[in-house]
Amino acid sequence: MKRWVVLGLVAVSGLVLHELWAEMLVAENAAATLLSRGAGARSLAGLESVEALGAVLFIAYRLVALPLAGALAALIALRLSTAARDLILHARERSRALRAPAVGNTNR
Amino acid sequence: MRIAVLLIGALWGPGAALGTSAGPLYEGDLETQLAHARGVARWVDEPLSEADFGTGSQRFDGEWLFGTYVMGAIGHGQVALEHPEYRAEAGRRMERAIDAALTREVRAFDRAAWGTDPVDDIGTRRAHVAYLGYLDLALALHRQVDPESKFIELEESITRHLAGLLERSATGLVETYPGEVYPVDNAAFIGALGVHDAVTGEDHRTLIRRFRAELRGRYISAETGLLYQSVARRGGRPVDAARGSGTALATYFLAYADPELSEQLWSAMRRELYRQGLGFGAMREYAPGPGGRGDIDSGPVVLGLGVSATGFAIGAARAHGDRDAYRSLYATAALFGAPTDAGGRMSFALGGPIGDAIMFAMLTAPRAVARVRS
Repeated sequence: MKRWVVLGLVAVSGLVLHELWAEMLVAENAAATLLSRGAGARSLAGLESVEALGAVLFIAYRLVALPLAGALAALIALRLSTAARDLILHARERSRALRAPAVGNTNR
Repeated sequence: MRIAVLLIGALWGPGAALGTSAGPLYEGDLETQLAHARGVARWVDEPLSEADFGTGSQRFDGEWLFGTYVMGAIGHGQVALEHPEYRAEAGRRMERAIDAALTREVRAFDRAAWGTDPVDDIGTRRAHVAYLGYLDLALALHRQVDPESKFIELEESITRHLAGLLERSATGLVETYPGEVYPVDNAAFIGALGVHDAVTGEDHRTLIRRFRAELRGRYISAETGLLYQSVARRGGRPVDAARGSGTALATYFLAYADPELSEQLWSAMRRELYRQGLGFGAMREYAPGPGGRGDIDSGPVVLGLGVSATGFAIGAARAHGDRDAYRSLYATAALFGAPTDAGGRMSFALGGPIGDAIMFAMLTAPRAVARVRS
């Protein structure tokens, strides 16, 4: 249980960081420097290099975070399906036990 | 078992999730389109200038500023034609964007290249087809959205100007800048001509058919079926390779006027340039072979895959009803562009004004067949 709480906290923190970072990039129009740099239009210097580096780091963050999120989602799906299967099996066993005739009870 | 599930989730999860978010856009969900419309309207309402585009070239900064306004206007027009209830608001937003594109400050990049102003040169022998061709598509769409458009006179004069020059051109193409001829810029005007004819009932089919014949005969690579990026002013000899960015954008524009030619280009792109895997798709800038480097048209080229070619191909995919390509190309654009919803306004965190405007126009591209029937 504790492990799932930690995983949940990490996922939520990652999402919040991503949203804040993305909004900052939109607000600062940092993409323009990266696009033009990548297009070979010019070399960058000073502050623009920092902005372009920030944008590259953001891409790197997404490239790491998205597969991790995918793996986490798959793990949750596996866990839920296992729990559901166990629940169904348990319910079947209970129902079978209730319907079964009492065998070997000869005391009467 | 658990490791296998983790791997499947990590490898296929992102592509599946990002591709799924393309569904409402492909289907033309109005709310989703409006979120992008609001994101672009924000850039138009802000006082943008060339300084907001750091390409390092005054010409390219100017092109990107102009492109933001004109592609934004085109996107609004496309949404309005798909959803008539958006017409009034779209008309106003298009008007603001076109007014901005028409300012002397925004026209400066073209004026600097030609030495004369594009609007003042209407009716002369100087084509200015980049500025006037792209603008004309936005103007024609505005006429279609708002029959009382205040740009009717301008749209008609640009159409007459460029149609006349194309008819008289020995190469079948006109110049973007002095001595520079790009077939894709001419395709933008041909797209505008298709909309113009649909709105006015005029018939430029002879000119459109001639353009098709010229492209097929001279400006489409016999080897790959892709469009040459740039050709010589005299004689029309290719001076640059057949490339993905130009072909994809021309495919989108031509869907407005010549769906058959547009379909031919799309098939070539699908065959020669399209790559996909793990739910993601992308277009190469050059067909497999020696290739070339990225430039301002292609955007960054990584492992042969082009940013512009991939983005423009989204519009081409929607125009030709290619849901799978649209979905996977969008997944890639979303992975690297990071669409972000800030208060109901969708922006690509790594797109900037020009990226938002181009993506808006491409994501809402009209179906080629539907347009012809209408």
